[in-house]
Amino acid sequence: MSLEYGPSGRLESLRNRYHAIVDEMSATLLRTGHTVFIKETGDFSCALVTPQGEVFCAPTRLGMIRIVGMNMATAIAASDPPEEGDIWIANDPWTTGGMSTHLPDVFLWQPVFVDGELLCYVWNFVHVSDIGGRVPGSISPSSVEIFEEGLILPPTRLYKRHEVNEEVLRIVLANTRIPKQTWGDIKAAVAALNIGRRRLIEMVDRYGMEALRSAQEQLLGWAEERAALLIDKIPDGEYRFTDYMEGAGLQGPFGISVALRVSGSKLQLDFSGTSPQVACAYNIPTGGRGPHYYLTTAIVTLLRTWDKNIPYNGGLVRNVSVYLPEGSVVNPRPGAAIGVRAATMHRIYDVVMGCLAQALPGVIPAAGAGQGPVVVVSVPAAEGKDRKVSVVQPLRGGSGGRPHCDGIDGIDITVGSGRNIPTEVLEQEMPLLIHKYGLRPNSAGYGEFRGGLGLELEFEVLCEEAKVACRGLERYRLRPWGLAGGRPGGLGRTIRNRGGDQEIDEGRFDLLSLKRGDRLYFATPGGGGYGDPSRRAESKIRRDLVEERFGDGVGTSERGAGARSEPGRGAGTTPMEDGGSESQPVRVMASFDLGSERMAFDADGGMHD
Amino acid sequence: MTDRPTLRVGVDVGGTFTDALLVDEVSGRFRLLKVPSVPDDPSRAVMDAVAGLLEEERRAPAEVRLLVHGTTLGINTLVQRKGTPTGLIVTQGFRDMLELGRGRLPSIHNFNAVNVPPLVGRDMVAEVRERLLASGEVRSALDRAELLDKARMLVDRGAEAIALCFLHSYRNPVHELAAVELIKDTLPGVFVSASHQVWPQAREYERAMATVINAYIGEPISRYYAKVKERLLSIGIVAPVVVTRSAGGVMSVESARQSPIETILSGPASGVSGAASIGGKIDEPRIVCLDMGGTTADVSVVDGAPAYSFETTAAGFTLSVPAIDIVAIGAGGGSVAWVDPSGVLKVGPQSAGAEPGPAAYGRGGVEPTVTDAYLLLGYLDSTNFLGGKIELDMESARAAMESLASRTGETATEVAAQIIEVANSNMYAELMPLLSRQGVDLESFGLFVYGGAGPTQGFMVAEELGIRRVIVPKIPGGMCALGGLLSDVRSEFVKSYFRAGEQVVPSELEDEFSKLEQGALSWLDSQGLVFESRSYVRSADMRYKGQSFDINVAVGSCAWDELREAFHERHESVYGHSDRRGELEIVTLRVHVIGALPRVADGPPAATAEFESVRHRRRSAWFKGGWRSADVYERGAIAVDTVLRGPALVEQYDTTVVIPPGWEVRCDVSGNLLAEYKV
Repeated sequence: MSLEYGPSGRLESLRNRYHAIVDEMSATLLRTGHTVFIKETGDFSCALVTPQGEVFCAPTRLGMIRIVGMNMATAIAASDPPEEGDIWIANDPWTTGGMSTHLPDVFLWQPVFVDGELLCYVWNFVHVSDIGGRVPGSISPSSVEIFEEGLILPPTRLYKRHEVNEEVLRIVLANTRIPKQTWGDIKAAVAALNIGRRRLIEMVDRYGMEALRSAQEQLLGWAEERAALLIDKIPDGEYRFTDYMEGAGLQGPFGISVALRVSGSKLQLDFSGTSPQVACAYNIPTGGRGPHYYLTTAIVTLLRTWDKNIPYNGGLVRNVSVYLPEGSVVNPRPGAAIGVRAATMHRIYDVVMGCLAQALPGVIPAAGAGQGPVVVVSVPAAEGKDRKVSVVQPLRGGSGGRPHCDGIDGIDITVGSGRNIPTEVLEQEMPLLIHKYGLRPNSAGYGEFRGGLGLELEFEVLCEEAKVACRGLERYRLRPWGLAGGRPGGLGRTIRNRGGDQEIDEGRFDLLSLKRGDRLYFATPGGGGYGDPSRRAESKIRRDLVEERFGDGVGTSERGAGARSEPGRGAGTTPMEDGGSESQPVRVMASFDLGSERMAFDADGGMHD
Repeated sequence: MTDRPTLRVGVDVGGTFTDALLVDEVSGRFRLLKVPSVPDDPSRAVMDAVAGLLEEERRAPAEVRLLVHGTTLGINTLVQRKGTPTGLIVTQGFRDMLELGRGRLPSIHNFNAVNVPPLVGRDMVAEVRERLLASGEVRSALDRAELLDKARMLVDRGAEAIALCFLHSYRNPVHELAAVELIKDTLPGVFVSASHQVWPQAREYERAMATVINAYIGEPISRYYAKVKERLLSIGIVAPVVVTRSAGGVMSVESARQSPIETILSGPASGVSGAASIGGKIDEPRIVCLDMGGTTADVSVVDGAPAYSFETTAAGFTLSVPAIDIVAIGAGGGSVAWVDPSGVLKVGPQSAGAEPGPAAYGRGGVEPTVTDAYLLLGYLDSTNFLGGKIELDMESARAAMESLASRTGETATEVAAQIIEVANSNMYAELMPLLSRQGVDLESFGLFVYGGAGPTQGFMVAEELGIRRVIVPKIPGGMCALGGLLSDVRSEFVKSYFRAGEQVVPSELEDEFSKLEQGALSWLDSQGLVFESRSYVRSADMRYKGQSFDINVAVGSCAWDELREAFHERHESVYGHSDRRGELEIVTLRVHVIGALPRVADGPPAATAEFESVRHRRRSAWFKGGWRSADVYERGAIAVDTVLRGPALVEQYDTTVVIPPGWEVRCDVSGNLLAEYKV
């Protein structure tokens, strides 16, 4: 037992106090933010950071909660020396060690001093709705360079001694299409930092500087120790998995490969073999060194599934190391386009889960829909001004079947924190008619525990013309894999004027122009199944039939025994021929069903073509 | 004894106890009785409690003038899935409306996350061809033959009630009205509920949910109240029965039957109403309410009036019915303390509940709880808990604490003190973000503590939060029953309006409000009660054109300039900014109606001067790291204007008030204890 911290309840009390501070910061940001991205989607996060750069407290309720594993040391070094009353701003991935992963994520931080001594930093980010660049909203899958994606801000003082730096502010606001809202969201972030700072100073009054300082390290150590105990439960060895991004435009499928090495309480994620960086916006700038939060989501989810009381801070990933080849999709060189990096994150999640599934049979679910795109429509505004833009619906798919129960219909676990949009609200705001928004029967991978169903969304344009953008459509070609005998999930589809004379398969489009009366139909992927379909309980089969979720004799390949349960090349089933530690056995993996499309793809040379 | 009825009885049916509170509205005299709840037949406990009270007070059943009832029956029916089998008919293409909800999982970062199954299974949801546009214009006519086929199919599958929710029916109910008529004509005996009647507002999931719940719990609730009336009649009580609402106020049983969703969270809500009412009387209009019981602590904010929420959670469902904004924290007297694998002490969220309860209850509980810590630290008297009805078992509590202490390397006392510290910090962690969300500035607020454990833990929570004033009402264990008794009859009448600012014609707007007020008036008439006064409050939900966030603005004048100004001011105070050039629209008109019931007189002070508040003994209790000798008082013997200084303990039937050092407490003329932190 490494923790020694006074009375038995003191550390828990201080953890509660610190949590109250990040929660209050988040509530302040949510309350005072200006744009829908903040208020409805909650695309922001707040954290408390040690002087060395580790997140020692992160919120678990409000906002995007992945910030936990990010190391801020590079950003801190770039803002040295810390000065009372300074607030720094940055969105540049390369001068912050991958802290910001695309330009709309604007990070702000402020050192907190008490009697001239540095206690810690208050930190947050907001996804601003536009930071310039060649398209409204700043993100386009087809961007080739970061310079198309908007203003790049290396760490810069936005406030100096509590006074706003007007010169910097002018530059920022001159580079966005919506200066007023952008400044509104940034001010909300500043308000959150200030409330956090105030509460920390009050805490020092009560507990004293020394106690609080050492509590930061204790909290990190506590999470580290708990994580170590859990990682110890994963059998030692090396596990490998490869999966693919279908990518944008001409940048055909590119592979994400990982080797997960487990030794005692240590984990390594080695991304050797992952595709070189791509000439579109799917690269993830991770900084190349640490257990970046975009790489460790699956690990953190496993730890939190096993122990929902585990302290939530950067200590969780202290035992995780990474290898990220320079110039790869997961560690691109400066200048790469990165706007749609979240799409790639889904696949990184899948490959790490693929490794964990081999290490922990009976624990890990089959693959979920593995995508989280958002359909955005723009229409001409009245009075011929700017176009009117609105999100139609986030396109979620089903989650993967699980070792003890079916996947969730219509919601993939990785995107479970967002909200959908009421049809009645959307139709009030936009000249669109939604014909269908509901579950997509038969779309999941069958199994003893089937995957969750995908969704169907179909809408009609009621005005002269409309433009539809959708970034990050994936799993249109290669299915979410089934596990332990379960079948792979269904593929996504996009069809214009379905059932009409001029039906067009639009596939993974970037941008579509529709005219009055056109209909666009989306069917999202269903999750992979888990376990041998012949073992599926009679009662579940009947229930699915009665509820018309999964029919009998529908003859889909998802249900039938069409695909062989033999993993394809590159899936990591074969022992490593070189590299890897000799002392560690390479395990033969659990059975994945990757689907016939993937096997054909692999047989055809796969990513190496 | 007199024949003129002057008694009011408040009843609150909880999971463990059924509370009944009797008040004489003329003299203000009151009495509280707690009897064990009877889960299989809750009305029996109600009857027993009311009969018991009348007997203890030697009053006749005919003297009861009004019975106010709060209950968790609605939410229990949802949790246990024991409502009326219900079918749902929706617009074609939207069968999964209920299941998809707003698409958020109850837990994230969890492979084993599960969604709450919808109240109506997918096989009991049918689609029909019909469609309105957002403007209310008919795009496709209702397919009547298909509607009847589907309704018959649902009935064949076992539906006893049918809920209808067609898109945009809040704008134009034409298809829902036609469908109701067709079903009623063809399938008599099936209960039909249409969404535009239940909840005439945009957002299909929320409206469908309200409509389904109405159909699902309406019948059980109506049966229950019939039973209550029958039972009360059997002991000679003929007084009208009214039901407490989630948004405060009360309404008749018949109204509750029409709109049962409005009663779902009524129990805790009436406690807050009661606290707000007492706060108003003692010049503490701004209070944070802490209602701490066995399993949870309910927290809410009163700033003049209780804060409302338009998104509440019941049985795992998100509901959009307005309700007093109450956050339940998993921290009560029964919360279990444990040590995690790293040796850190944690408290809750698991609770020992009523059975087996804390170790000190001696019913087989072996895990140490917050209540056991109270006992070990001298806060509770083992022989005087709940008026001596339960004897606390010190040895069991100590044994439980020692098993925990052996793992932390502390003494039983030290670990008990740590449990209290962690429990306080749990409260802090939940409270601060809530208070921030509501823009509460703690310096101007008092903490109003009630529930069985609220007064025990409350002063320490106040210190944790930096709140310097604490209010302990006279009957902390009966606040939910009392709150109903102090409430007026209330309801809200709503109309979808949808007008852009420039289209608003003041005379037309005035007409619409008048019509709503007429409806409100006849509703008040239907309540079967005599009111001292009737009043209305007009308001409108407004927003920037093209946005979906509404805010509710009080309407004084129907002139557009004034409405616009009111909107901007409100937007500024809620969000901290407003765009004065932005175009606005009115979405919904609301009339809130209040039928005021006669005031209840303030009771005589608990003790008169001649009773001289004697401290009847002293007891050692643990405060701030050491044992202190604390004065122990009997609550009923504390005279008006008596000043008590901490450390002190005040014992009463329904709780023990723990006053740490540094606090000065005065008993006011109504018997409330008003405390101030003097450090």
